[in-house]
Amino acid sequence: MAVADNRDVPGRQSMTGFSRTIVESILDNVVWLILFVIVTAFCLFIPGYAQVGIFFNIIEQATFVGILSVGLSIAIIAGQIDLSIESTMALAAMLTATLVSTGELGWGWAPTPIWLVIPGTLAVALTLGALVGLVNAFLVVKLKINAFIATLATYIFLRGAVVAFNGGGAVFGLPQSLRSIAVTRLGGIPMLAWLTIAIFLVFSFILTKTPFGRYLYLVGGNPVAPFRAGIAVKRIAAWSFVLSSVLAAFAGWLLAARTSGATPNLGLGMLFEAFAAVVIGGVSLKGGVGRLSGVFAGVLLLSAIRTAINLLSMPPQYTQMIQGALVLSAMLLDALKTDVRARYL
Amino acid sequence: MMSDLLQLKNISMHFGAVSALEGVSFSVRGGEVVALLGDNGAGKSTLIKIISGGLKPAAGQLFFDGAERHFQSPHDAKLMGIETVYQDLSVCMNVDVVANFFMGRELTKSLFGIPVLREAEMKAITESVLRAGGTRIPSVKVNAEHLSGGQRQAIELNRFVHWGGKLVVLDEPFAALGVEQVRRGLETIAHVRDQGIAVIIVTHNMTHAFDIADRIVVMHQGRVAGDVQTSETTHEEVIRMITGDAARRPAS
Amino acid sequence: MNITRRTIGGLALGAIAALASNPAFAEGKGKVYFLIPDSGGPFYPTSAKVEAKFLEQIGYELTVLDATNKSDLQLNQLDNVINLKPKAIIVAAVDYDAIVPGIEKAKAAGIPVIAFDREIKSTKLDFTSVAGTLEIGRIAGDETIRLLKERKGAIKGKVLQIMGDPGDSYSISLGKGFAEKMTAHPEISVITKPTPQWEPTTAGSTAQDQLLANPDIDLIFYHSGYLASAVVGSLEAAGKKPGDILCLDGDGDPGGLAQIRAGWQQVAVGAPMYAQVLAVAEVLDQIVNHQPLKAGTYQILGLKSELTEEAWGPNMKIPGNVVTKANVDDPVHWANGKVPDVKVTPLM
Repeated sequence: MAVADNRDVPGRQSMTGFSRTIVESILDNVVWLILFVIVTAFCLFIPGYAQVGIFFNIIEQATFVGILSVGLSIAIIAGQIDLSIESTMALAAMLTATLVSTGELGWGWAPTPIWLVIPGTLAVALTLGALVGLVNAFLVVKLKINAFIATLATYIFLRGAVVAFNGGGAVFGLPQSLRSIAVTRLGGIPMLAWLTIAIFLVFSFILTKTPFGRYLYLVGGNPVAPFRAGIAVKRIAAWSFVLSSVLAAFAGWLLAARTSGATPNLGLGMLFEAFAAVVIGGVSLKGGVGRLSGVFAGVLLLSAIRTAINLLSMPPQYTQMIQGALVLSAMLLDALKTDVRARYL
Repeated sequence: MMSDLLQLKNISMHFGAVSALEGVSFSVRGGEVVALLGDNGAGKSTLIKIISGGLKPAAGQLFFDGAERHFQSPHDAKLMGIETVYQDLSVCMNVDVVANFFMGRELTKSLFGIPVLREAEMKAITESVLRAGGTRIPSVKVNAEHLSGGQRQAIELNRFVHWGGKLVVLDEPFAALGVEQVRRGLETIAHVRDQGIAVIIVTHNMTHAFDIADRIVVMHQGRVAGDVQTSETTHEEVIRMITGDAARRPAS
Repeated sequence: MNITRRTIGGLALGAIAALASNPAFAEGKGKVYFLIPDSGGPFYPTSAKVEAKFLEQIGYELTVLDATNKSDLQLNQLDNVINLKPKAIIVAAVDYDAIVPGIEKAKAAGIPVIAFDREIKSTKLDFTSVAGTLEIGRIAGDETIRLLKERKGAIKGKVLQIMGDPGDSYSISLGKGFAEKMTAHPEISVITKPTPQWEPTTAGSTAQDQLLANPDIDLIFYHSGYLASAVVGSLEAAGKKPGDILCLDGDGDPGGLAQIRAGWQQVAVGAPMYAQVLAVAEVLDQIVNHQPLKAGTYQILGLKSELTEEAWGPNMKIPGNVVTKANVDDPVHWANGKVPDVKVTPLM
């Protein structure tokens, strides 16, 4: 029997296994490598870039796209897609800001003690996120509407809701206690940067170490197999929508604190940045593949580039072209990676 | 002689006016490999769907493990220890062998109330089961997509055995496999049988059937056209049964 | 400025359609249509509401159509309106070129056309009422010079200019007017950064990065008060106190006025919306009756305005308001939301 063959080749096998592991880990972490190279180059060539404060800025400014990317990654890994996250974020921000704003359009909710606005608005924002997620899940899992179409519809609807919320008006004048989330530093590092890192760590843990995370990959890879194995496939898909929406709402809550208010166009364009980060980070749009560590590198890469553009002296008209070119090169890199994998592994 | 693990008595099945199965009786014992042969439309698929709970028969009885059963779904049949293995249908290509092996049965520990995977333990179990099953793969941490079709099938079979399966139905297990992979597949099936498990192989390939099966059952136009010990028949006779030119039932 | 002039593609999907329409007077003079580009921000919807109120006084019924920032939709709306044979059409164009064929059709049908807030220079119009974005940019430049001189005792310093969307005509003209004033003072260095789609988070990040790279920034000029909250948020996060860095906006949006009240912002240069709207009401009878308008200087809500005869017809240019802490509560600023209680009287 084959047991004999097994003893035949252990040396050779562990060799290929070992070198495969090395090549795989290089391919998996290639974004971190690129991030390192690019940031080093920026430090060398852009005056004012090489300072700790700028690095904190990069992480802090990555907060919103970063948290959106975590949710988007979860949805995509589970074989779905969620286009509504940006609008969910904006609506959560608008709701949060309106609730506590002392300005003309605000409702001026001021509980005693005032710090209660933090858990209060957070609960409202996250509830909104959960509701949006449930609606998306209902449309896609229950009514079997294509996820792209269903969440495109919620994306448009919710952005409209943000505009309509205050008749197109912007809300400002948030209480200091809520603002403190965006202003406070912990150990010299901005609170938002800590939160971003924490979100990535927590969800990395969930994706790699828990059965739920494992099921997300299984469902995204081949839903028939986990279904046959008795896993509640539909429930997993539904959870992926709820999680991505709740994360988006959390990002919106932070965004309201950061911009000290909310505008109808808040966060416009962040969906595409999140997509870029997710793809650069190695999450396959086909589902079932990708790791949040790569996505974090992708988010930081985009943020580092944006900061570089902010500091470079160049005509403002070219900013978006550069960003577009970078996203395209990231896609090409991804294609190259797949090619290397197919050829040598 | 062991008693029958699965026994079908006078099973009939109709799809509208079309009769798919007509008074089919069929049995398998534990530790026996039965090859189910027949032309397209002879009723093989309908029969295995009834066995695995995918279809409910219009008439007749199904006995499994000593009692009459009425499977409402494949899940029911699975709980009893019956599973159908279609090529790659139950494998997730994007995760490693361990994850596939423990799919839906992950070992966990509780960390502050959160279930956490016991990865090292699952890896060790997978390795030892595959080794015992004679399956050769480079590493259990490699994704299923990097394995051959034969290796994936072996993992599915080992998984089935490990989780207490009693009867496995293999639907065209050797389609699209190379010569060497077929040889390994046949070895794996023999290994499964040696552990007292009943195996039903649905195939078009007579050579494979003669290589591995203890018994050959031939379907023709919804009826059992032949049910013979492999050792007591020939290729020519089986072909005549498939084409409907001969019929032979066991003397019992 | 007003977010409404911005390119917020698809943003206005939620808030559409007729915003204000009043029952016709028994002795009504007829219908007037107001084609606004979008309702993504308060400027145009508010303009329309106030215009409806003024026109009601003099016997016209105003209907408002929102093009949701789509130039083709606005052209369709204009075509439809022409068939309704109104007394006049007021247009704030989504695109000053795309709208021209529609305007020429209206003129051919004998319907007077008035341009509001956005100049249309490639065809002959019956009236144009604009604040003059270029002029607002110049005023912002003068205010910058004044603030720097007061702060530093000399006209020098470093200015961060946070533009709006780099493709938005409002932001471009504002920047042009501002640059005219700045080039005269080489001691002032200006760093200019865009805010694609006027997205406030981006403006906040720009300020945050620039404060680190250029800690000696004295003044931040953001093109809209709409961005004020996010920029001030970054200043606060960077540990700044109100007044540490001078702030200035270029449109008099309520967001900027709020920061003036809070002490973070010193000046806003705003579009004189009420005067712009009132100017249209005060010449409407004459336009409808095809009487010529006389060039000259007029006082509109106390603002010295110039009516000139340009290639594109009579052009009323009303200067921008300078808003400071001293006059921030003045009802003349549209951002305060207090519509002036004036009687509409013919201008000439």
